[in-house]
Amino acid sequence: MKKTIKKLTAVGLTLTSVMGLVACGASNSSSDDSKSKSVDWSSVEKPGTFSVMVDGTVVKDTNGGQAFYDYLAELTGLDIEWIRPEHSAYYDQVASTFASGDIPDVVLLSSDYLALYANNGYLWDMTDAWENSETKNSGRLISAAEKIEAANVVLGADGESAMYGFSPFRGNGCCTYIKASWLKAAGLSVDDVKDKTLTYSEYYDILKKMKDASSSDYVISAPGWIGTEAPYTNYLPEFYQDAEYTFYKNADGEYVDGFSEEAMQDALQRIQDAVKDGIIDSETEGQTTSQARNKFYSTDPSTESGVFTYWAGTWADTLVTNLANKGLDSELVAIYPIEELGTYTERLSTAWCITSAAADAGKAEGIYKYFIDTMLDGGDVQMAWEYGAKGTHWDDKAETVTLATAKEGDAVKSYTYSEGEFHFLPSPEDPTTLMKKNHIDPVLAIASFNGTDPGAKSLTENVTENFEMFSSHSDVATPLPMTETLGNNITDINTARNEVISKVALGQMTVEDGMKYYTDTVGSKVEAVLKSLNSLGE
Amino acid sequence: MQCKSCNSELPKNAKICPKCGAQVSKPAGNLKVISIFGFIIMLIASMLPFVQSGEEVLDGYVPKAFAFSFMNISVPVMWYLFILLLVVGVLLVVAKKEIFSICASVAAMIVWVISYFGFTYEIVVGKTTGGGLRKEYTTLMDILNNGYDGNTYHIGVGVYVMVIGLIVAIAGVFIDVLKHFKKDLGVDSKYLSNSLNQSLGLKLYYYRGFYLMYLPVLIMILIFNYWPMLGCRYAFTRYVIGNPYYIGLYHFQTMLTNDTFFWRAFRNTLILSIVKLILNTGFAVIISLLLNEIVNMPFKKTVQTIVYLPHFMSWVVIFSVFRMILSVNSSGVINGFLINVGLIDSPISFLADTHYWRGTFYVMNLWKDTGWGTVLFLATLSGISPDLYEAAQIDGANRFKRLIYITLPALANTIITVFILNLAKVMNLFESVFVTKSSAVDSVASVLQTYVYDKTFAGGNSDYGYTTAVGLFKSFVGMILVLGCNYASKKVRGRGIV
Repeated sequence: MKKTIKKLTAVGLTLTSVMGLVACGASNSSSDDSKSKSVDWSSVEKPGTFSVMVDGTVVKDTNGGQAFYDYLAELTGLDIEWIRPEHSAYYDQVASTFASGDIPDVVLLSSDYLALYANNGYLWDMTDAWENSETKNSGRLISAAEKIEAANVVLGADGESAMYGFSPFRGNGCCTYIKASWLKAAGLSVDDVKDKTLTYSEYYDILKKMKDASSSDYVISAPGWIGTEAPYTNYLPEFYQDAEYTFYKNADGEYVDGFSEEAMQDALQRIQDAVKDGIIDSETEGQTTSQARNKFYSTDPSTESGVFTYWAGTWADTLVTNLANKGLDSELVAIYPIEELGTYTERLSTAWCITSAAADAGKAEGIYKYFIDTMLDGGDVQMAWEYGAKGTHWDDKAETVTLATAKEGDAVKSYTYSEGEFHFLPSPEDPTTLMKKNHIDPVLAIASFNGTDPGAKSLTENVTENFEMFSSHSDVATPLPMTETLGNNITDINTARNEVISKVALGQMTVEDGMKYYTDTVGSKVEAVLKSLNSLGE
Repeated sequence: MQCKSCNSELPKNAKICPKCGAQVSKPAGNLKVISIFGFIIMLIASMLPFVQSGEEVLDGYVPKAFAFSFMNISVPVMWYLFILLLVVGVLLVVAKKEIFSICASVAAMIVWVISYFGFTYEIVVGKTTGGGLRKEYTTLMDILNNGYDGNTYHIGVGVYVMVIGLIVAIAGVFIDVLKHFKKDLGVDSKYLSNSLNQSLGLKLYYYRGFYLMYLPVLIMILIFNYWPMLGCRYAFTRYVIGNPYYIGLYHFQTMLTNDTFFWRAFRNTLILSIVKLILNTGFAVIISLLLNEIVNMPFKKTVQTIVYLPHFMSWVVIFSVFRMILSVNSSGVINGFLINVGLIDSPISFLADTHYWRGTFYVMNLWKDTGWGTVLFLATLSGISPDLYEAAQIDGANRFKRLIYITLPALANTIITVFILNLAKVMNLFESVFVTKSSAVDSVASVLQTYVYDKTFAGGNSDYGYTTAVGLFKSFVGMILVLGCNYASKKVRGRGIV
């Protein structure tokens, strides 16, 4: 009998626990206190220990991360617990963390995720904090700052728009680079394209001339027909022009599906013609960024491209350096956006967000004031976020910096600096190169330093010139509000869109057939999404 | 049978021991598995809708107040109590106290009826800051009579399944299905250390050392294979980060009636897997036969090594190699060759054209896996007695006839075994397609696994509820295939594969 009872108890416990687990999740929690309240900001105190989850854009642990944490702690007096998932799996980790309920106090999010988590009520409304922040009222903000921060104003769980994230830097964007050597080979000169606003037909004529003069199969190499994040059209901007890939608010204030509009049909026709004419690489389908880049650097004349649309700023220098390293003519011309395009589009920047967990713990205001608002203080903390830790990533003492050599026999590179002169130190991760930057790219920061940027000299003229050109000819992408219906259907809709773009580009479908296929396949989903977007204001 | 008190052999059907006069207890009988099955049906029914909306399932819309069951009852304790009673019922069946298990099943039914009529259920109407859900509450009677948000409601499938479960649980008590599968050896079970008639407890005790060694494996399997299965409940929920809420069978209804992408992926999965399986098995047999004919051993070993090698390459490498070879640009070897010999005028986009992608995919698979597939066949071939070939040769059979009348019949059983074993895995196609497909060929390349991956990770909103439903459906089809293969295997080989 005893044995029977024991047996039954054991089986019973097992079954109860298993079946009980099936029943888990039946109860839901709800709270409603992570709204930003009216706060006396002058009396807000430091938040105590808090956790920060960030991707690989902040110097990694293998690249002197600990030195940066210590340096920041020394400068701000904050006690931060850093959570550093692998960069490539960052958003998977973020999703798991939020799903598990073990939410960090601060998290770095891209625009899509910001909209998603804000809409689900997981982020703290920092509108009031931003309005009263030292950064906003410092007078050091760049003119585009308001527009950049406006992209962080998204719908919250209550259906109201509010600012749920802070971007300390611009998102940057792509501009089109043309090889001077290709222009010359086509009987043109740099002056024919530089500092000029070309029309599409002028631009296309130039491309055709370049194609005729080269032995390559194409002129433009691109990483795919369309991008995977807003602004989707940024790798072939001259061909997409004013076409919108996804939903957007038109001039009448109504949300429409850009993909079904005539502008997109015209764009697809232009792309199809360009592929047929051998202007755009017909292997663009499924091509990765590095494959497209490698074609731009290719030393094989049959696979080399002469035009490449890529990131502005520091990449302007990197492209030149890589071309020179391959023994190719490295002179590049970054052209103005063509007339029909109007402006290049700047990507939405990642944003620092404070979570509802921090708000529940009463730390949100303190975290904003002492952590987020100091990132662009115009002094030492901004130096740390832009250049890293003093003594590890940069220094200003008199010294000679010697880089390690990649292999024995390579020429040793040394640089001598005088006292007070800013200079980068060898990267802890790769001592054969100098550090380049920390989390905030100096050319992209939305606030200047008090006085001059101590590290400004480390930037080349090419980089600053290129970025100035881009800044004056670009506009920030408009964020799309996240609705439940949009979130549920966007994967299917984008699958159909990408299928149509690919098939039309490769000449396997006419534009008309493509649009019919699109409507037949996901028309009802598109309708549902538009209904959900247009009912937001109701 | 022996007397428990004096161990003397008892006559058949004796009620009292003729030697010591002790009462002979009635044999306990077998476990009533049908009754247990009834309790499981009742558990499943508790997750199915008790009341469901009659609204049309529209493509793209997110329903509100679509279904009600224990999963969204306002007092979840009632569900736990219901589950507890089911557990008690199962235990009573295990303990051979079947009559009491009827009481447990009836009690569970009473709890369910009270829950149905006496408690309120949640309707999710929005979200709150802090990651919570805004809810309203209603009774099932109210929603059945008055509807909600303009929709009418009807009794859900859960009610019918619950009643069926109860009937099976009760009727199963009186049906001993196991006795048809057991042989009465006419020998007392205690003399049979490893017989089917030996009690489970005795066997566990007798082999306790082995079971102890097995324990870590069992724990690992429970944690990594069975624990995640509990996530199946998400198939009945609308997934909101951290707070999934019940929507009944909505995902299944959407999937089966509206989702063109799902059906496309399902069709592609079957086509790609089955054609690949037939080609791979067929080519592996041919290569094995050819290899078997090679008499020069160093050459044979070299060829074998060369054909095995691609198996060890990752799909990324293989795709990169094929992408180079099949390039549409002038660097593409195949297109260059076809143009030079005048077979085509313009290059073919083998990897980005729906007409050619499947063929290219099969070729890549053949290149990668044919060599590896020959291992089993070569092993079988090496086991064929040379005497048979000698005898055939003496009888005047040429090489071809020896192949037809000796080699192939000897290989037939292995071919069928390999085919059946691989058929059971056809729903698991992922990596090879994921790496090689692109948007242009999505209509012929997307398979269920890549579809689930895209729906989960490609968009901003990971719809775990829907993808779990797709996963469950895939598992269901996979299970049918496995059982079918098992049946086929029993017919062909005389023993099953599971």
